[in-house]
Amino acid sequence: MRTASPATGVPPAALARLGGLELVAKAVVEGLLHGTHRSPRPGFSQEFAEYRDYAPGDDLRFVDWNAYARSDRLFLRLFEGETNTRLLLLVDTSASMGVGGERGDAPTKLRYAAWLAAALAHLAGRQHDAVGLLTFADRVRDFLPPRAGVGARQTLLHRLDAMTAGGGSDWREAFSHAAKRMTKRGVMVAISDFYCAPEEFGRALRGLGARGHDLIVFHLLDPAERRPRSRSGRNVTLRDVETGEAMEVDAGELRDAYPRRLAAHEAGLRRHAALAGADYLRMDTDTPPVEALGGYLRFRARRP
Amino acid sequence: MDGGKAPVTTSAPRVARAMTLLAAGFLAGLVALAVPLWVHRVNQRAPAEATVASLMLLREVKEPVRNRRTLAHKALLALRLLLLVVVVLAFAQPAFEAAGGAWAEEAPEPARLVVVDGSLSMRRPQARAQAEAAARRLLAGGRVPTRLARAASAFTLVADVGDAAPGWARLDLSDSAVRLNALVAALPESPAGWGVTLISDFQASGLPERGNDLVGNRLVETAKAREVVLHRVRADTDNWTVESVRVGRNRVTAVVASFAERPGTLAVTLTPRPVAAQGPTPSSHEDGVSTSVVVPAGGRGEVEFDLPALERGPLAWEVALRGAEDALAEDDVRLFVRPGSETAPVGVVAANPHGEAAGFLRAALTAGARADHVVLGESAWPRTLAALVAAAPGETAPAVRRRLHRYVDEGGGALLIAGPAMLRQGVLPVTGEALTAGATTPRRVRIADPTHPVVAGEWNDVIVRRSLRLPASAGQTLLALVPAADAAAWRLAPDSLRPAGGEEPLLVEKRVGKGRVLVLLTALERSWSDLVVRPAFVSLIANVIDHLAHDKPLLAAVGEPIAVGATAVRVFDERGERLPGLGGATNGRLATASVLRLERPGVYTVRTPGRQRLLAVNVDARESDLRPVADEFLAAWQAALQPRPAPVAAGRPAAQGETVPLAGWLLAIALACLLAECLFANIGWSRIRRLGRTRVSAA
Repeated sequence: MRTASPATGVPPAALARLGGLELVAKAVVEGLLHGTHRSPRPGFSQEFAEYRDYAPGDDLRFVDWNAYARSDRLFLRLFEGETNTRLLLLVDTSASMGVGGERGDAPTKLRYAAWLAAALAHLAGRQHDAVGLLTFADRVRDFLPPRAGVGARQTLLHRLDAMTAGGGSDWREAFSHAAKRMTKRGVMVAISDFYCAPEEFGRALRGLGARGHDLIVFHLLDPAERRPRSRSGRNVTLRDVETGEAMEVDAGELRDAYPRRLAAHEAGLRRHAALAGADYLRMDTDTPPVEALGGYLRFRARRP
Repeated sequence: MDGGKAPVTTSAPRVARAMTLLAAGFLAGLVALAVPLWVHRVNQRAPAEATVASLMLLREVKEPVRNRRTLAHKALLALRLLLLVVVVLAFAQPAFEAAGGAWAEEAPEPARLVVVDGSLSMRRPQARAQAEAAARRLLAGGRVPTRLARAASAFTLVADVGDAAPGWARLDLSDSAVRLNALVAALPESPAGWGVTLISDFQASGLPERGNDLVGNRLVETAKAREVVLHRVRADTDNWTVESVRVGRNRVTAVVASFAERPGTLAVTLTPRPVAAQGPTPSSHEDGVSTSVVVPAGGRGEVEFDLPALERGPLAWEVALRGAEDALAEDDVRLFVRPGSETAPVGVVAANPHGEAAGFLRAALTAGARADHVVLGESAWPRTLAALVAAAPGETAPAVRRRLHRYVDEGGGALLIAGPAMLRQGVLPVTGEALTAGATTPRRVRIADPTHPVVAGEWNDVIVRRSLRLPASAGQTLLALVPAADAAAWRLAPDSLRPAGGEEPLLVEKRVGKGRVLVLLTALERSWSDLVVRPAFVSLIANVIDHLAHDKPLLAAVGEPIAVGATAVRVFDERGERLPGLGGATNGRLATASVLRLERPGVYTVRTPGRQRLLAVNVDARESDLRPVADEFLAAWQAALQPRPAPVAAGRPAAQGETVPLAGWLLAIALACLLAECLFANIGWSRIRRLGRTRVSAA
């Protein structure tokens, strides 16, 4: 029987200090497993994996009453995924993903995306799922087809660790590439800040959804992007990290108009994701990955 | 009170500091200007730049809002700077000094005095036409009071341009400042002062020898004149003239001068000048004589003419250029009067007209070219006499002595020669001085005053045996008697011996009334001296007559003051018509009690009590050089005649010399700026900000 890990909700700064991505992934997954003890299916599979001792506070719905009747002990039923489940992580490495980390302890969006991807890969690995990686910007930069095994996972973690931000982002090509290379149905997780037109994003996503893939969209936002402000209270010149274009923006624009537009943009992404049958989850990089990921996994577990 | 002096004012004088860039307050304020500049710069610095993931969800500030904001920034900066500058100026206590017209905003147009050069050179048709046209233009404006003046030897206001026509005199630019000042001073007051325009051909000959002295000469020093404008007219300058004549007893030499750039062959004629006072011209001389002379360009040429014997020929003559096609015809004639031109006879008064003394005297007069002498008695004295010689006047009739006295007293000159019987009377007629007996031993004559023209002659052999004596203080001794024992030394240097003891006067000159007398203190008898048989006697009489008669030819230039030496002067022109208005100024002819100034060339007859002389008046020879001053010189002179500031305008509270402090006005302006800055920086600026936000939201 496993003991609960105290790493639940490890803040991003602490994760960053861990250094290696593998350690981060383990810490996240441990945290997930510890914090999501109520869920008998922490992974993406539905197959029974093992029993563990009941602990006070566990959900009584997952107690194996048959085993109790046989042994007079309380066991909790845990599940393992199918071995042929394929998980493809699509990580946006455009220059905009390199932005962030300016406030508090938040990492860059790209780093946060790497953490998420590593955690998911580790989680999938525990269920013997095949995990693949596709990184892209204005073109596909790297592609690892989904494979199972510790070696493949280590390779993926190395690739994630080596990601750098740069260039623009072309969702259409990335999704097209993924669709071509992943012919069997599987799970695709797209991690990006999604600075694109929601309609265009929706069209690309719907192409994947039509092939029967299970789609998950993680929309990353830095705290500075959620609540931008001018330090001097006056106009500020903002420079687009991808295009290099500069624009003088009024402080009032940042304070009032921009949050409204961001909310509208987010709603558009959510709507088009729903139209494509994808799960949409906005993640703030100042939120502990365990908390963000755990919430989603719980939501997914509850889904019929 | 002490000693009735006025109480001393103890209040401190009002100090009005002139604005200066070196004022400490001003410099400190200048440094303080950096403060609003810095503040404004801080507020104005470029917006901070930041990197964002994407500009997709942002909207740029609209251009009109940006422009308006920039404008508002600049306006606010200007307002703040103005505020500070005004405050600094106020603390610097600037003041304007009313004197000099610094307060005047716009100088009103001054009244105009147009002075037209009326000198001889302006008689050239081109110059005259240009001057008249320029004068008419200036007078035609009519916006300001105008006056017109004519300038030559005198500066006189005239009513019309025609009255300013040129005359015959010369305009001396170095001398004109005084006369021009006097003219301007006589003008009425004008609120804007007077502007003087001098229209002239600006002859170089009219300048002083050091022409640069004029540069810096304001020409008009009186404060009435604000500005002086030099207006030059131009005309031909090639000219020839009879520059001068040298008149001898029987010959005359004329100098012909060229002021042309080409040589010329000129005909020169000598003809008598008809003058009423000298009677009709003899027919033998009417045509005159003519000759020709070649004058190099810019050079001189001389011609000589023989004059007829004095007693047969006229006295007034003219030398003229004939057919000279030059710029100025008026200077082609030069008049002169021959020496010995005294038209009045020499009067002779003698107790015994047929006696020995009278005989010696008449013989000497005749030998000295004074054959026209007249012997005067108790009646029928001529109106004028060149001089008068009286032998033994004390022995004449009382009436004769009275007339003699009156003649001298009114300005005549007389030679009084002692008579043997005058010692008995003991009084010298005319002067009334006591006579005493002089030397009774033979004495020689010593020249006591070698510089006097009367005593020229040989006196070494003259022996005087008897003489009379006047008081020691009576007059100036011209000849003296010395003991004959000193003869040896006397012969060596008769005029350089120091007066020896026992020396007595022989010829004395003294003034009586307005006239003068020479007293010869020995009688014209052989028993008294051998003077009458010596050559010195003839020369003495001739010299005395010349001396007493002022018998020098009178020659003057037009406009030149001529000292007459008499209070009653009558002047007659060549036709014998008396010139009116002597003693006052009329028609340009001025005569005072002792000074004549004649404004036209000609031969004039000048009569003073008992005397009559001819006076030849010519144009000034310097006026014939028509070459103008250089343009550069005139420009420099004009530049030196900087206009004075306009006087304080009427109605201004500031009097001359008073200062007008401006600190109060400046502080008022500063207050207005402060209010404007507050309103603009808070209300106006907030409106602009709101406007900007509204536009962004709308976008």
